[in-house]
Amino acid sequence: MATTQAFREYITQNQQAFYRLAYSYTKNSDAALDVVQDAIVKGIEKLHTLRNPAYMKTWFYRILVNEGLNYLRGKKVVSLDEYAESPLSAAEDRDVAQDVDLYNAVQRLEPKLRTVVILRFFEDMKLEDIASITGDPLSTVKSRLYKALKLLKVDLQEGVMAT
Amino acid sequence: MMRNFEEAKRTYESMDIPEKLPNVVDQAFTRATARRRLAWYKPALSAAAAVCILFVALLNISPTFANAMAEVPVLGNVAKVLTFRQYAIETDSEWITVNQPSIAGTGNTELEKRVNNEIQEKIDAIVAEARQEAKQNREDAIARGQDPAQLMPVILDIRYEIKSSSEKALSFVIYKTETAASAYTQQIFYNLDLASGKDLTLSDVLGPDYKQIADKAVKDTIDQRMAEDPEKWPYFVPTPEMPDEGFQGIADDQKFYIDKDGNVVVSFDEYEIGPGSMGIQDFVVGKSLV
Repeated sequence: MATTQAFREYITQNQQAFYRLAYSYTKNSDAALDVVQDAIVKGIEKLHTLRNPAYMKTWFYRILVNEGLNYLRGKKVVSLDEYAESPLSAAEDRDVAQDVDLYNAVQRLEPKLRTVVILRFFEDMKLEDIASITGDPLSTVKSRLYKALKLLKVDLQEGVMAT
Repeated sequence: MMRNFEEAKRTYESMDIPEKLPNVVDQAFTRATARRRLAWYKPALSAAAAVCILFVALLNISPTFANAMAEVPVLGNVAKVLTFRQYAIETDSEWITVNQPSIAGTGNTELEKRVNNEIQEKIDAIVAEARQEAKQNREDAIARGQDPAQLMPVILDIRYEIKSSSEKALSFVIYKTETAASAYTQQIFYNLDLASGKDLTLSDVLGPDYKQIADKAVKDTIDQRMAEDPEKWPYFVPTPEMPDEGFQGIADDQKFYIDKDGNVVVSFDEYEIGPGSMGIQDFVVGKSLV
């Protein structure tokens, strides 16, 4: 069983990464801090369920990603900023073509695709680890990543051509 | 494609991080601890919907004192610190526990009257303030259309600890810990000269050079600890933007106590010279002259 001390050390050392991921969902600094705090509180309460401390990272990211997605689900009013350029499409194939900058394009992907891309390319995680974080089969993660890359690539090219 | 991701990753990693992130993280641990404590007490509390004040004991020799007594060799006219009042106030918006000390057996009734009245006034003011805050939180929640029962209550805990007790001097501390969004402990020290009935000063216990003595001892300890392991001892340090951060010498009303070995110990509340996660910081600065 993992100790609170080990958990606290892990959290303290990686807090900035948690914040960045939380912000990628909330797009709001205070809300991101709330998501991080809620995830840590849940983590402490569920720490006894983590049998093998070696899985602390994927285990905690799973809590954090859930908190982030819950935040988006629970949000009644969608911020204008986030959806301004594609007001109608919150679906998986949300059009991200307007963003020439790849980082912005990633941040505008539908949340589940965004999660996979951020964890894979910004946090350098293995696809198997991402699958255990999101709780999806590996094949789903792969297809999401494929879809995201296609969207990003196509959109980037179109974006470049449009300007 | 991959090169693009490298650039995007750099943008991602250079995201602005709010300065209060470490505090938010610390608070998470405090919140979880408080919640766990609440959960543990929950069955006993569930019946207490209305305000319920329990006067558990009016005058009750504390176990702390009993332990301290065992270590004091002279059992003559030794001052006692007793639990004068012990009570709890529990509603869905506040959870207050108080262990109020009083002193007795000093052979100086004037001193006892002064100190006991002072403690009573201080504690009453602290409790009143916390209850006001809880009331305000509740009203704010109702105004926002929230269910006040969902709010985390204001948690206030007042307790005391005897630092040392001899024929000449009595040293004890009252802790006030308030947990709302975060927990925060403050200390009120009493160092009493039993012969004169006055409060001891650092000058009384360390001599006229007390400031130099205490400053040097504290600074040396901080420097040594930070040199050994800066991650374990993350004391605040002055920066160009905040030149008065960290330890800047002892205060005029520096908190201190005398420990049971007769050492003078200066004490800093949470956040005074380091992040709240470091807790209260104590430094032995020398032997007491009293």
